[in-house]
Amino acid sequence: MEDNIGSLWPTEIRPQIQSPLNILKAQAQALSQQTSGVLQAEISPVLTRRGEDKIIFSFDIVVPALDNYRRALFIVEQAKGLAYPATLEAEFFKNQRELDPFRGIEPGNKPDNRADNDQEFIQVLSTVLRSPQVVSLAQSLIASANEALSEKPLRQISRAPRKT
Amino acid sequence: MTLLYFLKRHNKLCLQVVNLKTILFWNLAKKQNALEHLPCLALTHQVDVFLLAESSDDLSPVLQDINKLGLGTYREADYEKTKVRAITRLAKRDFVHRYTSQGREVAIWRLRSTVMTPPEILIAGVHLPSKMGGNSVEDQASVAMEVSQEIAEFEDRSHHRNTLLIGDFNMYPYDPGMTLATGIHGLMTRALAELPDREHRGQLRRRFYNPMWGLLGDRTVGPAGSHFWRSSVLHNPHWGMLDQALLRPSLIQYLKDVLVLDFDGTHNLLGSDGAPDKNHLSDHLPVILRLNV
Repeated sequence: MEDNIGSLWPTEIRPQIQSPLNILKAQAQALSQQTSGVLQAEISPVLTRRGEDKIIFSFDIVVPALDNYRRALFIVEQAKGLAYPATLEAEFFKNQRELDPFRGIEPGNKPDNRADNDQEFIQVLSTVLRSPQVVSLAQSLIASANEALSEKPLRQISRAPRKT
Repeated sequence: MTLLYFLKRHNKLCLQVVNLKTILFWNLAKKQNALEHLPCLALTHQVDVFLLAESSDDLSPVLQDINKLGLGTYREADYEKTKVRAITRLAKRDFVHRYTSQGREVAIWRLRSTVMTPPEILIAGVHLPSKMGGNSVEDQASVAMEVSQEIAEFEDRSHHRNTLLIGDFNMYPYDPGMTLATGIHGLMTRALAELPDREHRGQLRRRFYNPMWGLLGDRTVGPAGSHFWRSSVLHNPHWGMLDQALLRPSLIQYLKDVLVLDFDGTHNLLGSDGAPDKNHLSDHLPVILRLNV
């Protein structure tokens, strides 16, 4: 009798679901690996900016060669205790809204920057990370970092640790 | 003994001159003509750091002009085109771009100091949304809250609060975004600014001193504000102090002076009606301050 009913649970409920924070951590690690550590990313919780019922993470690029220059790239907002829906606020979406102010706000339409599950979050995040603004910024920061590294005196770059 | 006293005194005076840093903020309103006044301003006021809003993308022509004056080598000091851009004659190690916010409306530089502990100050340059763009006072207050939080977070990362906040806030000193304890929290007197952090809903809200209150109106040195609004609307304060410089309490004792400029040393920056010459220059006037740091 029970076997005939089958599962009524939607397929979105899976054992492998990742939280936004875990996905962000993986991308921070990927950035460091891909740039040989020239660019690093830090995720920090911003608990207080928009009320206590929300959790906000800021995803920043940090450039060690530029005196740890920090560039806030985007923020991710979710309700306290709920991984999804999560909203990603980035310059990319702001520019899109400026071009089309009514985009995503019609009744029944979901905003482009909202993800209701991890697959959607990966998609939204991928859109931002591959956006022209982010690619251009990352390339510029790497170029500036390489310039700064080449300007540093040799002794600062190649000095071997002193034996004790 | 007298000579020793003289040398000590002389060294102290020299040290004071070396420590003096002149910082000038100007919203250029995308006017190339306004940019051409930078060399005169540099020469007249020995400006160490220019912070420019709404400047043209290419600053190299004006850099060439300033560098002909022999006042030092001025350079761009930002890693990307933020809404407030910096030009400085300070050495690379003495003035460093440290942070840019997501929307690029907040940029923070570190200025090396010989008198502060730790030996640096943070200069946060901002250009915040205008009411002209359709933002209400409430919208502006909401942005101010986020900016205030961002600055506090960066201060915490830097382990100090030696911060100068300067820029075009597009708000008056008395607008809620500027005065709210949850916003910029800019207070009009040193005594108010030096009170302990204010506790609100279990969180400590740090304060800024806003010396621009002391420059409003025509009974003070300089023009009545930094911006003039030509409009026939019934509620029009005409002169507005949209461009402001605020300091954390730890920096107040090092503030030598702050002024709105209507003259670059050679040319008048006002039009024939006594307001900023928006036809040829910017509708904003420069704000200059000197810090003994």
